[in-house]
Amino acid sequence: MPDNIAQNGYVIIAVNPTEYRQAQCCAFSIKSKMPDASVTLVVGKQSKVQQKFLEGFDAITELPFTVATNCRQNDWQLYWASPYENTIAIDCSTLVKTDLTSAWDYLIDHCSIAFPNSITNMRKDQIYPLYKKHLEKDYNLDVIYSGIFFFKKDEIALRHFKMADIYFQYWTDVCSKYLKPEHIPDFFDADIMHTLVADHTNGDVVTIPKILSYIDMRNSAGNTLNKVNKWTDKLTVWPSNAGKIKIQNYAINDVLYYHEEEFLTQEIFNEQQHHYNNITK
Amino acid sequence: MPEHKDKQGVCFFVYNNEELDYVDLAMLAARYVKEYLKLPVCIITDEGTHGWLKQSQSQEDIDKFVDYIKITTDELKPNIRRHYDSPYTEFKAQFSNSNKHKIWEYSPFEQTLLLDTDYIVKNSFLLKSFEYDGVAMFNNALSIRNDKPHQNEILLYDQGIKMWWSTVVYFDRSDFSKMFFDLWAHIADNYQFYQFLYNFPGNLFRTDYCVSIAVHILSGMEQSNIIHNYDDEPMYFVSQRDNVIDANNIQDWICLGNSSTESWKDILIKHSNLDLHVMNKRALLRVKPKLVEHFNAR
Repeated sequence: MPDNIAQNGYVIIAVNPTEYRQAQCCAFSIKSKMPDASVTLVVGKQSKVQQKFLEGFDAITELPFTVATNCRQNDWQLYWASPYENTIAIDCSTLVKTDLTSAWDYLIDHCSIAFPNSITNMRKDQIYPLYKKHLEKDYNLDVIYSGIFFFKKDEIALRHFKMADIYFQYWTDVCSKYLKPEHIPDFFDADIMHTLVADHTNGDVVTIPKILSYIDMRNSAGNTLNKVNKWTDKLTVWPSNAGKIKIQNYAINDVLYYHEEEFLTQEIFNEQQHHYNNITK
Repeated sequence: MPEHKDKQGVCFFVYNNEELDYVDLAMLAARYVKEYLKLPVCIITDEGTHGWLKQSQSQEDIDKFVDYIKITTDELKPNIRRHYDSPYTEFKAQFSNSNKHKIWEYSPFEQTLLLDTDYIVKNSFLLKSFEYDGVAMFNNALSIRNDKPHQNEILLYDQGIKMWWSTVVYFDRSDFSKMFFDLWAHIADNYQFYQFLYNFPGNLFRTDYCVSIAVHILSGMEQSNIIHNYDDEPMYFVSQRDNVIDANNIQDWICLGNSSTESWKDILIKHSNLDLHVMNKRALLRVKPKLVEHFNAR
């Protein structure tokens, strides 16, 4: 870890080569928009990460405790893994196509830990996933989303991560205790688990309308996928020069949480890398 | 650029076909414009339809409700549209709309409100248009049952861009408006390419799709408020499966709102004080004599 690490920065967890590549592309996108941003890759074992994946990062660090194979199940370790005083954590399958500088200023001034409470589709219309309706209606939970979130290293944020430690490691037991069987997800779901932790830490988590809100592609297409499982099989993506991306002819100028690894074709990866090189070198 | 004698006014494109008397529709729509907007009216038409206007309408009515007549010689592309008159009657007719973007050229006004002939103005709401810079259209619509329109009239297709309605188009003579109409013309000229790119359905040439794509492109391919949308106010419409069955006076219309899921069910609706886009044109033509009676009886 370099000594001159910045006070504020982004962390991205990745625990396998597919995720290293996604995380790297995310880092390219962040630095293309904010060349001075500091970005750290958080991995299970540093020695397993090939050198080629490190371009775009300022630092690489290891998860300090036992590593789960589902990378988001390690979110709870970020408090200890992040080298920054103020951190924005981003899911590796995300591209940042907007400048978040003003969000940083606001978050540092107003929050210890903040999550978005709204997500949008590629049209930037707010969307309401079905599970959110269940969680709100049946359990009176205020749903938060975790594709991107902010935290400081302070006592308030620490409470969230300490509870997440238990909740995330024993997520099936926790879900069984608090949710009806039909609402328990088949796989670890970071949004649901962060929502439960936030609810049980008595309002420590701050949600600010529109700040940190992002485009969530899996939930964007959820209502219309029918027999198609992945949005990438149904919707059209057009990459172009300067790292631009259009989905269904909509220019993406926001944080894009694309979820599916099929999205990150070599063409898109190369374009993001090329744009990063043009901007930063 | 034409000389602008009147600064503000309303235009209608009027091209008859063998099934629908657009002249009759336009005369009714113009009558309502005169009543509620008190603006000059320009009819844009072709020789044949103009002949029918003079033959079918009294000169007194033409003088009263029409201030300008512009005769066009554009070749109108074949464009067959399937119409309904309630759920039980269906017919096909030519839909002549391929030169609608030329309103920029044809309008005699500096600030123009272009209305479809089946759009009936029943209040002064549209005067708000003249406060806008650039272009204004509706991108939000509700049926007389307060239902949303069919999904492909909200988005061009289920994951497509938002649809804007070309039923009401307001524009000024700004460079931006010129760019909008130039782009509309370009999209109309390359309609099949844009149909492929934007994946919208059908073989019918729809100007709604042209303006939707133009708005999308002018907005930098994002959602934006570059085009005014009447502050999200909806455009109320009588669908082709609904019916207008009576009129108590020029304002109070009695309609049947047809269920989109159970076509044998209608609800009775009294509709007043709100503008109406009456897509069931035959229904409008059926009730027109009664409306004219109400106008004349005042």
